[in-house]
Amino acid sequence: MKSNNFVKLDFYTVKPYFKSMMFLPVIALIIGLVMKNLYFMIIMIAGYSWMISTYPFSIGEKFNLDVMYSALPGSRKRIVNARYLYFILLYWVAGIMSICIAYVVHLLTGLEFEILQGILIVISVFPLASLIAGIFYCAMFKFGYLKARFVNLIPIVLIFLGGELLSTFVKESLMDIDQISPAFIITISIVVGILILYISKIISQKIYQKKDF
Amino acid sequence: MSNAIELKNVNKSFKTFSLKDISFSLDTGFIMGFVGQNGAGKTTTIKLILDMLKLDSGEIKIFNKDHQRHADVIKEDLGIVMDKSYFVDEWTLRDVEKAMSPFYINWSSLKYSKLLKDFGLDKNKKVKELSKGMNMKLMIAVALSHDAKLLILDEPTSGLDPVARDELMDMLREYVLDENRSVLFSTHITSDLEKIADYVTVIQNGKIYYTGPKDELLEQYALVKGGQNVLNDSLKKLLIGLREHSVGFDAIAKRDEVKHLKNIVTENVTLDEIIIRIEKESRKSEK
Amino acid sequence: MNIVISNTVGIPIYQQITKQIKDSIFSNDVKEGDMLPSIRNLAKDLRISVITTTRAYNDLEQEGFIVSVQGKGCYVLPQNTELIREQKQREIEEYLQKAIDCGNAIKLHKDEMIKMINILYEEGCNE
Repeated sequence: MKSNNFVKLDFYTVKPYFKSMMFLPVIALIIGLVMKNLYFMIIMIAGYSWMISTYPFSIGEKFNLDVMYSALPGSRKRIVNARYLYFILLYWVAGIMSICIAYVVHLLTGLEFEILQGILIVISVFPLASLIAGIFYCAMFKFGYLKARFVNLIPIVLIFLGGELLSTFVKESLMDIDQISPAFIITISIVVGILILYISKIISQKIYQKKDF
Repeated sequence: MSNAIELKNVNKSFKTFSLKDISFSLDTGFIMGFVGQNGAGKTTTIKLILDMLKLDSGEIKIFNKDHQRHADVIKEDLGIVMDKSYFVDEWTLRDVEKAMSPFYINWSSLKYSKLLKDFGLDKNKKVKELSKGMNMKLMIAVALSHDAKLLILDEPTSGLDPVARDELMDMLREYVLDENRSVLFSTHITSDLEKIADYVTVIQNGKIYYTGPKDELLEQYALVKGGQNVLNDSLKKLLIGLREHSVGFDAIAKRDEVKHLKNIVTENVTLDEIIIRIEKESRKSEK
Repeated sequence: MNIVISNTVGIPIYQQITKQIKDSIFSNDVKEGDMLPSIRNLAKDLRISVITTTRAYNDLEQEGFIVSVQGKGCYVLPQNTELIREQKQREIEEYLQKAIDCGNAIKLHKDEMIKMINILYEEGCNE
């Protein structure tokens, strides 16, 4: 797919900052251990993936990358498309990574953790993450990172404040409604998440297409 | 003769400034200097060409193709150099290649390596460690590595010492030895242009004052000096950007119109002088 | 072949170029069939506009001094020595007329003029 190059570019943009971002999962891990809730750790990592997904915007603005993007072959639509793909990739990679870490920690410390539950949490939080990403990507494409950035903190704050509640809630509601097949939950979550991102993408593309740099 | 760039009746308005009816074209194989004082509209025009700003009206063609509809194809052959780096600071020059090369069909790693070596740039260095002059060379290296047929430079020499500026001028001349390549370069350092430009477009306050061969512009006008006693109303009408002082006056004027006059001294005019005088003249008419 | 142009002398640059190339041809510095620098290379070396060098070469081509071969370059054409001789003789007549006018201004006699010419020739031979 032609957006590939821009997705790679987003990762390349963020690459120099990866090392300094490594401490984030570590913090999530520590907090998860402290709170004895590995599921919370998973949600924290999901939150961090959201943070990293805004980096192409912040870095782009800081280094005047608009010029670079304008020079490269590839329509603005494609650039926007790639940014959403980048988010999806980040979220799922973070999700898988966090499940793996949680499992290893579970083996080492005996703290409660079931892979299936972990997977279900990652999947069922996806629509929420997509909603947040969807709204704020539109804001960032429209107003630029600097002006929209305060909204970047909201998910982090929300997660810190409500993350534990959320993870417990999701876990328990999943157990309550286990007459509904996991397959159904998985499908609905993914479909809703993708749908939200798709709508957001269309709006962002319209915004970005008209933008003056 | 095909055009590398063609602008027809381009208009763009902002709150405090507008570009009005901009038309000019650059023939393939030539270097065009784009001059005017700061704020005259050079960067705005270049951004319009690059589709970074959207036109209000008018038409822009690059390589005879509409600049928006065929942007993808055009950008394969387009190289851009700006007055500051447009890469991520933390990237090494190796990263720059890895980031840029996938986008270009004609990217040559060999060329990139050779160019970096020729320019004295170390692949392992980070973009933030490069001086202004080196950054400029990096942008050129990237453009040449995918065999750009058109180089657009926006104030590439601002902040560079005379040696670095001279090096860039040589590079541009070398670049157009191949007559399929063209250069558009905007600057307010006109002495650079006087060395190498074939064509010049002068923009003043959002409008095109002149576009055409540089030598013709310089031949058309002359610097005129004389004593107070010579200055009469009919002469004043011919003068542009008149400066009167205690022991005489100076101004520029069309050579043809003043060549028959006695009691004045005429000299060759420079691009700088033209820009200064037309600005002076427009400020007068605003009063 | 050397070409040195001046920005400060009143003569347009393309004319300076055509004159110097013609002189090179006359003095056999460049011979029939020799290839001249390309229009673009010349512009680059002299740091002038390609339009200027193009004009100089076009003029030279029109006057029959050079020919440009598509895809190859510009070559010096064989010179019609009769024609050159005539041109040069005309130039000499102009210069001589100027000398005569100067002489008349100080009422120099023709014989004295001829004496001066003889002396100059002798001095030229001794060099």
